[in-house]
Amino acid sequence: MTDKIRKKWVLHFPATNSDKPIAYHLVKDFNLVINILQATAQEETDSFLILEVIGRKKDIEHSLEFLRQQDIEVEDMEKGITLNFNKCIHCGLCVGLCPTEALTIDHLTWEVCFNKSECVVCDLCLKYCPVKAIEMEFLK
Amino acid sequence: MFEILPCKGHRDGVPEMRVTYNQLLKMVLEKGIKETAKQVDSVALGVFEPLENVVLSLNISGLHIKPFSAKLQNVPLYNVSSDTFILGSQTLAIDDGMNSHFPGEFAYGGAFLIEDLINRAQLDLRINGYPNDVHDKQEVRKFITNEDVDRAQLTIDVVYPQALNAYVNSTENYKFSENGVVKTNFQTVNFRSNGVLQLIYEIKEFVSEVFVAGAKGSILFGDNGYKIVGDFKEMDTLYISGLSLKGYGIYLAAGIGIVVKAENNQALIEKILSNEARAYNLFDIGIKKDVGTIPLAQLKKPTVSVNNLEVKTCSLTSIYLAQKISEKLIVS
Ligand code: SF4
Ligand code: SF4
Repeated sequence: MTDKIRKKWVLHFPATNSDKPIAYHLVKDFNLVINILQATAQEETDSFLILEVIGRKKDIEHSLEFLRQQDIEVEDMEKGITLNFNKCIHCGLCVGLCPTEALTIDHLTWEVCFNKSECVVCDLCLKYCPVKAIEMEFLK
Repeated sequence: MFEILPCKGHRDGVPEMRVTYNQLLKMVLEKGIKETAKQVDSVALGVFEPLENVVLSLNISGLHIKPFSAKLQNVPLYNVSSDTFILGSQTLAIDDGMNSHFPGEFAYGGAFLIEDLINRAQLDLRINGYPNDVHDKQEVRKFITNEDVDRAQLTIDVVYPQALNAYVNSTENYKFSENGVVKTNFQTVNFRSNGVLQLIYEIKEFVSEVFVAGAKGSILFGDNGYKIVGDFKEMDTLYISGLSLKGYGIYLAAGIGIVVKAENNQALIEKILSNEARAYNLFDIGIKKDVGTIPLAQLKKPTVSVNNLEVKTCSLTSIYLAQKISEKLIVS
């Protein structure tokens, strides 16, 4: 349960390929959990699909290979974590859960600090913060 | 170096010297306990953590109904008279999924309702009653805010002595507890209390002021614990927060502050300092087995050693907000 990662992709389909059941293959062949955020299939122009995919690192890599073989262009949308200090009660639960040094406690003031550059977006803090002070942002 | 903030009160014409718990720890390190005891007049202690046994009593007049069941925002209330209702902070909304999809979210219930009331949100009140010669209504359905509540009191019941637990987990599955989520294979040690609620009972004769969630509180000591009561109408969401502990339930975290008189009382200061050595039961929640004890001072460090492993500490008690509350008490 811990080694799964989450990605947000924009898939650009070539006009000839738009009716292939791509989502089906991602789920069936690569064990990914997918969440379709937006889909379009406009005639005569490129169609695209915005997906959130969750799966093991290896499966995600293999699915990327598969998508490229289908001439589907995959655009990775970076996502990041933000800490909403209006909600945070500085309890420190996330600090112990965080597998990196992205969340730490200043032992002079006992304030919880967030260092984005250390964050690997594992989502643990997002899932378990008791006041939902951790928020996810998608950056294009 | 720290600065002693000015505060109200005088002793023999000299301003009272009131310090926070953290300032006291530093002061003793710098000056020694004897000198500290000579200088300090009072100590402000703070707590901000998930609390057990919190109830809110709400008095709402003019309902014209003799209730047999009531709910506010889908959270059940107990009716203790025709116009007084009791809300439990850990009571779940009746449509909560609980752990049917494990681990459950526990998104709404008493603690969040308490927060919403303070925030003056519009809340859906539904009451069913039975006919009698005094009350004409059998059903009430209306939106209310904190303004419609005539009187409200928040009561926190603290049991003493109470074993304080710190959890580790030796298994391959996450465990969901009142101390938060405990990671697998001894990756975290989880605790939820700074011990001060227990300390308060141990130094009860010296308690002089009580602050509860922004309001002035009163405290009543009994043989095996005490109650802190505060006027809910004066409370502030800065010091109150509903917590959703995934897979476990809902808690109210509230800020409590206590001032103790410490004039020339070295024994009292020693007692306060000994809180850092308070022993927490170290319990392996994965296999339900005690594995030893650990002092609070260790749990306050980023990592501790358990079974020769370096384990990260996960706390649910906010030492930051506890400190803010005690700072507030030394200047107000
Ligand atoms: S778990 Fe949430 S409330 Fe606690 S310190 Fe982290 S972000 Fe703040
Ligand atoms: S997402 Fe993971 S790595 Fe990033 S701050 Fe949260 S717990 Fe740490």
